[in-house]
Amino acid sequence: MSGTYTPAPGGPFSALTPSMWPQDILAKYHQKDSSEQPELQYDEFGFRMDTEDGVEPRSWLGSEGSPQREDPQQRLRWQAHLEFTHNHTVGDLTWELIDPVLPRSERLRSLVLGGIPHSMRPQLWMRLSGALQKKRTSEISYREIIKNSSNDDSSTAKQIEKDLLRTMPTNACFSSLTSVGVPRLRRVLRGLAWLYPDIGYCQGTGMVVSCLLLFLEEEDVLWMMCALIEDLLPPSYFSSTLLGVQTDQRVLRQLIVQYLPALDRLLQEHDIELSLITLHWFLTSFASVVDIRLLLRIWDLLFYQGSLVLFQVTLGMLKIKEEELVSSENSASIFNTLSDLPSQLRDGPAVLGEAMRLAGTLSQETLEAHRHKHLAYILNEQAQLNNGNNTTLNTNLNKVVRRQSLRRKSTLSSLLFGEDEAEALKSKNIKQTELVAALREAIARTAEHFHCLDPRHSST
Amino acid sequence: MQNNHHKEHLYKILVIGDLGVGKTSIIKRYVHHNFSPNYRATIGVDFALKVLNWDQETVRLQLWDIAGQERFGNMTRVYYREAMGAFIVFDVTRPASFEAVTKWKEDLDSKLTLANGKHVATVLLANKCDQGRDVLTNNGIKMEQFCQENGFVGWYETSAKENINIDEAANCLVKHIIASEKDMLQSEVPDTITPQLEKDKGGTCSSCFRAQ
Repeated sequence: MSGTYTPAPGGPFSALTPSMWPQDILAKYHQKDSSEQPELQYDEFGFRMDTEDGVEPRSWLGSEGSPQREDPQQRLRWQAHLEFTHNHTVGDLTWELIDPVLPRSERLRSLVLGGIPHSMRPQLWMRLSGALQKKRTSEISYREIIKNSSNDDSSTAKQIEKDLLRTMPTNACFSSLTSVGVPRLRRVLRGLAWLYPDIGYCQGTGMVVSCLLLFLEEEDVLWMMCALIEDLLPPSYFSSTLLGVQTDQRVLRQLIVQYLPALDRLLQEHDIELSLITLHWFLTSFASVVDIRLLLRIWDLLFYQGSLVLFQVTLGMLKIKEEELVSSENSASIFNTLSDLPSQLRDGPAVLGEAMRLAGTLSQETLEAHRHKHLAYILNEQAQLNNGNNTTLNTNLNKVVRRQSLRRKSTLSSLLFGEDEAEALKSKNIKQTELVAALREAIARTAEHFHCLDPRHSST
Repeated sequence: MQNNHHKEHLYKILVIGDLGVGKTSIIKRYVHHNFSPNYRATIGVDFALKVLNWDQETVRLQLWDIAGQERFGNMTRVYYREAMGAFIVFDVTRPASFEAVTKWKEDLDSKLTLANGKHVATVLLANKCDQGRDVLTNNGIKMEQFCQENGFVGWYETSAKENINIDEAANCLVKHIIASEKDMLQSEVPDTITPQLEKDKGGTCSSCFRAQ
């Protein structure tokens, strides 16, 4: 598939996986005599460099964060680490010989934090995230998944179709139905919807998938998404209830009280609901929110450490702009500064550095404890709101609990009781959760009973 | 009542409707006067501000562009808070998006009421009218009836692409919002303390009344 035209080193499309190189556009670049200006300019990721839609021009030539400028030292450090952990001498080591899962270590973490050399990203992301392991051990092949999910008529397929060109419209690989990335995006999104019936198609996943497709082959993208959904992000992140991502917004708000007290006071004082802005950041793991160069650095870490990174990075970004926010004139300008905040940060090392200085000690355990608490609050609130028409939530809950999913772990029980235990205590937890569901139903019925008895509602 | 000095109004307006009916396009056309066939799908909610001159007064419209996918409906209670008006949009070329209109209206009315207990002014937009096939909207009398039955203050055939009727629809909504605001002020019991006047914002949170 990688046709005859190759991007110039550091030039347009040069950071993409070769099968994504848009041959038609590259052909034009080649045919052009040097005097003639091409009608559209693209950066090394295939993004248009015009100023339409208020998108700031992205310069690729000699830009600081250009992934083509791999730091030779960092590359050597990575090579040495891989060779050292695989007992190979220089030159012998090929990707086939490197284990599908890299042993976790402080050394590996500090390498990931320092950034993965761009040319090594596809292979390392697959190994850090556990996606390669899933690919190798899966009982179902990508081909079968695609075959099973090729039905055009479902409402899911229709929604996906509506969004294909609305996912990354400014990128040459996704800008028209004939663009090279579009059929891949369609197949991966349909495959995921089939694989996870409780999720189906969630707007926002498309942004993540399309960003991954720029650098990885489509089959690998699917397994990366499986790793994100099953292991790296908490359960119910993308499911129809969005409980996981909603919970995380409450957790974030609580962490701000602890880590950024001045910002907390500001948000309280101006009655600003931060989740209106940050839900999007978490749901897309910052894809479509930050500049792609910064995104790559965040994702290096996300694929190694999971959702903890989303909190650390968010806190770090807010910290960088805290002074500006606190000195804002009014609610509207605070709101605008918050909305525009991620797109104004470009410097990967600065953002990650601030994130780790501020919240590097935040642990997964603390995060899980906060999550359990806030999930309980949310469920409780929903139950109260649903007293009048209590069927919705109960059916939702039953659906989540009793669902027989093809893939494991994205169940409510693992959200309530933690992931590892959920594996071990799965049946017990499901029973417990069903008891809770039954109890809730009983309470809701009682509430309905009294609701009906209330003279104010005695119209019947 | 006299307006002897320059007054400013700030209204929060919701734009809701099914996925891909053109909510973002309508807002971009209204606020930025341009159109693109492929705006990015809205995740959660997006915001835009439009400033109008209205009878020598300034009206600021804060437009809330709310994601159309059903699962984001879980968050609409937060999104709807303190809104004064709404557009509900459907796509004339997709009957299913029209069928969803009543669902959106019910969601809106069940989660949002004005201080006087009334529903917020809502205008129905039949978008993409440039693409024809508007069998539905051809029958004006039926549409009027639909609006009356479902509590819409009006309806417009719109096209974000061709810039048809968007300013008109917005003016209609603003007119009704101002009317309902006056109505609220008049129906107010004189000795009631309105928390909105006390502070910059807030007053809708039930816990505020218990504040020390």
